[in-house]
Amino acid sequence: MSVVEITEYLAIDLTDTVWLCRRCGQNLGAADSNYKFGCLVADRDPRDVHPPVVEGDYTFAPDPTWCRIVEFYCPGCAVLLEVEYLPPGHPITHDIEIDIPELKKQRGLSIQ
Amino acid sequence: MSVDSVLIETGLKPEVPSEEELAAATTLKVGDYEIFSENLMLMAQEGKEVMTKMGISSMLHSGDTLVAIYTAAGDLVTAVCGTLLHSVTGQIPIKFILKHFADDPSVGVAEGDVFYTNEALYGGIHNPDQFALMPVFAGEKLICWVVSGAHQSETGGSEPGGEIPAAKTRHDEGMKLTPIKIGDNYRLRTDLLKMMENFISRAPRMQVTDVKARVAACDRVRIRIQEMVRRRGVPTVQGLFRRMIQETSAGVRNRISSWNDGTYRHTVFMDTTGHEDSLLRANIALTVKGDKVTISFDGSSPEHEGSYNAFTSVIRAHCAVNLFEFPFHDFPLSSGMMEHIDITVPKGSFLDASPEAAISCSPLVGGLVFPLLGSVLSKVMYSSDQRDQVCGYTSSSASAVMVSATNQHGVRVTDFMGYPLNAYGLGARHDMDGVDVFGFPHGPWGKAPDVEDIESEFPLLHLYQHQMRNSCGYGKFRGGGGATIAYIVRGTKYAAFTSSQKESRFPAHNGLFGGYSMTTLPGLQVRNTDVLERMANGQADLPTDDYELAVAEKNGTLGGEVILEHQTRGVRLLKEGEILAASTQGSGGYGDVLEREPAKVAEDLRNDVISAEVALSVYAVVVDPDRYIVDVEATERARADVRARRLSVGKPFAEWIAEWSLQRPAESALGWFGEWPSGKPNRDVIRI
Repeated sequence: MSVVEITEYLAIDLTDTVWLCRRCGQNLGAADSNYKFGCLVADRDPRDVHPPVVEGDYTFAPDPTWCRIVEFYCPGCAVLLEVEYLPPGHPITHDIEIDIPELKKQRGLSIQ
Repeated sequence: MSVDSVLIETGLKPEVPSEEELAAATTLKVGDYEIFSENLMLMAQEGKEVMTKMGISSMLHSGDTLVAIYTAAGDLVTAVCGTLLHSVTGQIPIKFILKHFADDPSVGVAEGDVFYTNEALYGGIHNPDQFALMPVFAGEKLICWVVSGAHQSETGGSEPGGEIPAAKTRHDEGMKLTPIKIGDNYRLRTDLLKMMENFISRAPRMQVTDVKARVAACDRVRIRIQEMVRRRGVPTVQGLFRRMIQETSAGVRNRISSWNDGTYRHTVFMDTTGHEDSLLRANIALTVKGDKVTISFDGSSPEHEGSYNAFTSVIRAHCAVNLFEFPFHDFPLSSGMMEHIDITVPKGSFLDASPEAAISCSPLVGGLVFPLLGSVLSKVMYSSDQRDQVCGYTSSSASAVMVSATNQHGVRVTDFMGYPLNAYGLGARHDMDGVDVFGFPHGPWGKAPDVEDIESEFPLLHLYQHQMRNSCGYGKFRGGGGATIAYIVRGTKYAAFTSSQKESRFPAHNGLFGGYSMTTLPGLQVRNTDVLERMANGQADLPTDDYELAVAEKNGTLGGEVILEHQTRGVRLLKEGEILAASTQGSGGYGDVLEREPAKVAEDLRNDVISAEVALSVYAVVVDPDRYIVDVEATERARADVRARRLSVGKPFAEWIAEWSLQRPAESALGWFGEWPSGKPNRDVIRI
């Protein structure tokens, strides 16, 4: 089997060596790279998701000058593939970096 | 200071077994392993029962405990918890005693000896965690050690409660005993117990009683092991110990081999140093290669002048908790697990600070490991046979509120509030919601005391205590919710509180695979209030949760002043009738919120798990607020609108990152982050 399920929404096609969206099959780029490069991205005010109750420094919502919610969408079906809570401008995380040649070897596929 | 850093960094791995032990393991008869390994666990369980029945501090009763058996060389054989942290931290003091004292004629190790320690520099977590250690001999031969540990809620520090948010250095944190011999020939030394009473003068009775409880637990297990030795012989017992380590080692190795090779990363942020609000970054990179795992925390923020620092032993022990509970939960609880796992913690980071640093609040720092390791392990395990275990693990922040007062019975009490500490939310799983107010991730056996227990022991009245709306992380499957809790001081003139918490500006959990984090919470107090009079008058609209308490002054439902601050609080002295909230966050969600079944959203709304605003604005589910019935067509339209908005608002990565990279957090966030964004040290840390 050349398609390996990696997360709820991501798979790797070992034949073409690419990331795929598991909901719609959208190609999200080279499997040895970061799938986030193939996503649509938006950063949101955390108060959109966590409603504040009062005004001031401590509101029951994350401080929007400290924290943003970075969302990664599949460009094919718009499913929310992954979320990061990051300070504004902070580098994104290369969260899954699988050893593709080793995975191919385990599955009996040619490394080329 | 004689810190043995080599021992601390290597001591969690099992020592090289002797030929005698290896040979003994091969000579076990059919059924010996299966029967007697269970027997050893029952011995430890008996020891724990002895400790619990004899001890008095609330943490000892709520389960922050351990009784465990270690080989003669100090490797974990089996444990009954309590707290999994202590199962591994028990190893280092034994190895330290063997390495530095066994051949020292002024100390030595002999049958009937009792050692004691609470110094985190010797491989522990923080000085509230106190351990008794007893060697067990068969004739002249040392065959094993027994260790019992429990968290003690007073250490004689600059503030009451053991965890001291205001501490600046180790010198503010009270009693720290290196491993010392406090008894020999089965008898405790009165002079050393008096010394402890002197250190712990806020709660001397609790200290000495609980020392004796720990020692009694060790001694009971010692007796049982020696009975086993008499019945079965030394080789069988030694072989059993070795086989228990081997079984874990083999199981863990095979499981790691089934995972996809690669590197898995995650980053979380803490929003306080304990003294001031600041972002601190904690990074993890977990690499699987063949049958080995390496875990690195490189790139984490530098140490700082506040109290929220840790030592490498704290981080390693929190890793062990996660590994024992999560991917390797079905193997014997022994040191064999760590044989295949290497952990590196950068020196000089807030995860491995200088020995002079304040670390009594280190579980708050170590707790960052839970979402870090939980996330990367979930990403490892999703494509393995362990998919059914994938979850966001737990949140990272309990509500560790401590109270110190003379209670309504005239007795001086200083203790943690056991309920909020055991009220974490459990993260959503890949196939179901998380668990509301599930417990204490350091040791899921912990139990939360009843309201009545707390009110009979402490001068406190609960204004409210129940599950908290909108405290879970949202997702296809939602995280477990937390609890909203507020105490009124009653039956004493004054009570002092501290609280070691985090996540008032920035949550330390991300959710998983598109799920959202839980939210943040402020620290709440109400001063000069008239709540007791209003209760006596039968006022019907008193605040029933933190949300209502936060606006009680504005709405006129309480008199007095409502104060919102960070949850991390040094000592706060409250008068009778004043209020302090001690609520807990839930945990992260799993998957895209638009994939949550609309009927489950309606059920959450009916059960007060979420608000109507969240149902509509986050889940895009249209629900009749009176009958809790989903408008299916309106929901489909609302969700289609959200998807369309994502496609229009979302930008291709290159375009988005070009704009994103120009941003920077508020300067107030970067006081102790380190250089932005590398996190390299950029200021001196001054400790006097």
